[in-house]
Amino acid sequence: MTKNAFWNDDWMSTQRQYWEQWNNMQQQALGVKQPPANPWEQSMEHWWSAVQGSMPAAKQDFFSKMMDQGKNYFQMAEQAMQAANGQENVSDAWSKMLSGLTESFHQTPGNNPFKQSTAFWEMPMDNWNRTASALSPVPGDTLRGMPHGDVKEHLERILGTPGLGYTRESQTQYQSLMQAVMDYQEAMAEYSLFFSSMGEKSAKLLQQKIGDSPVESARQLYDTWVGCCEELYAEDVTTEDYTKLHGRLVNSLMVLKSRYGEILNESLSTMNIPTRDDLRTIQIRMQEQRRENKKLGSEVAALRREVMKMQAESKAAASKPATKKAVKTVKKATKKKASLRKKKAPAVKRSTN
Amino acid sequence: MINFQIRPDKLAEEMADYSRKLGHGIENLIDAGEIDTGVTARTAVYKEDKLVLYRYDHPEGVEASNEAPLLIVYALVNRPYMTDIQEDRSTIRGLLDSGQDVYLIDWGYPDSSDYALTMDDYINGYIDRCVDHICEEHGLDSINILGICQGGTFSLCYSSMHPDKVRNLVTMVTPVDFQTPDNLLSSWVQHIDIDLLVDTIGNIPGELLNWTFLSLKPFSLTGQKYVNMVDVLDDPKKVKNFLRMEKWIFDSPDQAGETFRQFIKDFYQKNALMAGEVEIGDNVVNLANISCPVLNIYAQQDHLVPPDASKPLGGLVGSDDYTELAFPGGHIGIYVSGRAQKEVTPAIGDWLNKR
Repeated sequence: MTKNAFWNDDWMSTQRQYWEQWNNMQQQALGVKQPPANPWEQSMEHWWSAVQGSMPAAKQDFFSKMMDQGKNYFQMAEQAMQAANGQENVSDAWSKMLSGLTESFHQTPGNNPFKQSTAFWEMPMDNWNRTASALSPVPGDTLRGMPHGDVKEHLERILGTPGLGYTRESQTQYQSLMQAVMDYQEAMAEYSLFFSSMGEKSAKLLQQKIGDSPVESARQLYDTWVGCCEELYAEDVTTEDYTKLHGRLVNSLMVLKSRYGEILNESLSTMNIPTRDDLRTIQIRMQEQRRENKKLGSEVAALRREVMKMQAESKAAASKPATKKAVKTVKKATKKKASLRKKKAPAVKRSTN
Repeated sequence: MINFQIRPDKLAEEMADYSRKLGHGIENLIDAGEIDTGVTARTAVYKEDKLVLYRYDHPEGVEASNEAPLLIVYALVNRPYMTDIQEDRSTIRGLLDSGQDVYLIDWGYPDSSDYALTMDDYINGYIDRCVDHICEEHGLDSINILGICQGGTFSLCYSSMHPDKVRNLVTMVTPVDFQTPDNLLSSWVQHIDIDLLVDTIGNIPGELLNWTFLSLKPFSLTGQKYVNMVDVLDDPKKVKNFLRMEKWIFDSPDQAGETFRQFIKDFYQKNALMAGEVEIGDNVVNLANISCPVLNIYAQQDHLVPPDASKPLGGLVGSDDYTELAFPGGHIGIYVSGRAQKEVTPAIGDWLNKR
């Protein structure tokens, strides 16, 4: 560790005071009287925004994860403390906090005081959104907030209307694309619902587990919470319902992507630009040809070995006492095949096919 | 009755402690520099397309006492430097120490030009040519093969189709029965339309595989792991080791589309290896053709390839010399844990040297 450490206790204390005063000034300027909802989280945010510029980009994501998990880690304990505030019976306060957590899975995330804990159950969805973003031309969560329910039924009726006239095919393509968008959106909504219902169960399981042993630290609470989530997750994601849901999610994204692809291909074709389908055909044909070449190369190599073996056998036979005629015949054959002799292999051999 | 005993002062202390560790740790994180992977010296001896066949140098004072070289066939998923991840955690180093002459196939990173590579191209093409190259170099007709995970399944297929070229076969965390009830990966792919997937996106992006693997334990692997990491942030060596693992986890090459199609459909969805119905090129893979000695190693806490997925191999191979080794650890621990260095690698070396 260098002498110019990013963090020491004096620095931490100074920073904390600075940010507290700065926050107070801000709140006064804005006319906000309440103290910050979560001073620790806020001070960490300030600290992180100050130092992250000096960190290589590749490591920022990694460090952010530790920051985010730190927030999750302390959030529950803080909620419990807040619930306990002003109440004589800590157990009642704790029960109140857990009930709040359970209820929070039914609420919209906006004003939810247990947002951080419920967000924990967003992790699988968040992971999927990142993946979907990498696979499709729109960000993974773009379609999540689109209207569904009655609107969807109405749209489905409209999209089911056959196309007419000169642009009939094009209309059908766009209708099909819209249908794919809606199907994917529906699959995402189901996927999200699945996890929020699991989140609710996990809060109940947590209540059971911490009833058995005393909770003495935020870390213990966090680890127990993770354990509960994993336990329930492991049970539920093996069910047939989940595997079908999982399949629907991936398949619907692929249908959507392939509809985009069809429209894109059509546009490229009109401009005489090779499409992905054209490229795919070339890739397959090329690979077939390379496979054939390599096979022929192997056969030629095997034949060479065979010839060399025969030559060696002939040579051996020639060195034995034999009639003049036999020796002459072998010599002649050896001369003819000399051009086929294998060259000495280089240190690093590279297949040329 | 809920026994809640977190005191405000204790909570504040925990928070301060966490913050302090993060603060100190950021130094170590920045100082960690480039994350190197693969520690043992090696030489590229054969190249073809994106494949590179490496031969590992022996440490000073150690000779290859086993006359049959050992070819390591790693999975197409993730990168093979897992087997040589750091000085004191290297399966390769352990094998060299046991007297093996070690070769390894590095598949590289397939791109769209590799889309049409099939399992036939990988197994009867690439692997077979690597085996031929090694045989030619050593003047042998057959060599030893060590297959890892999916590479183990490929090695089984290869050994079944080319039994005369395989002297001994070692499989590590290798799936054979792809439909055991505890196989999450398998249950998740059952309802995926693989043809639609491959036809739509061609090569399968590494991101999709990462998502799948992280989804096996999302809260531990994308959350708790980073909280645990904060505890060791003050140790530069541990930080570097953690970053090395992190690099490996997310270093996922794309998968050649046609190979992925066959692997998932035939192995995961149809479980055709168990039924002896996998067709590769012009051959049908029958594990009973494998008559050489087989050492099958599985990890007891493996959540990717559960033990029950590996163990059926014993009843399917035609070999009279079949050995199983159960390692008390997970899919990754079997390569990188301290215990694995002491138990697994020497056991492989011993087993090979006796044959």
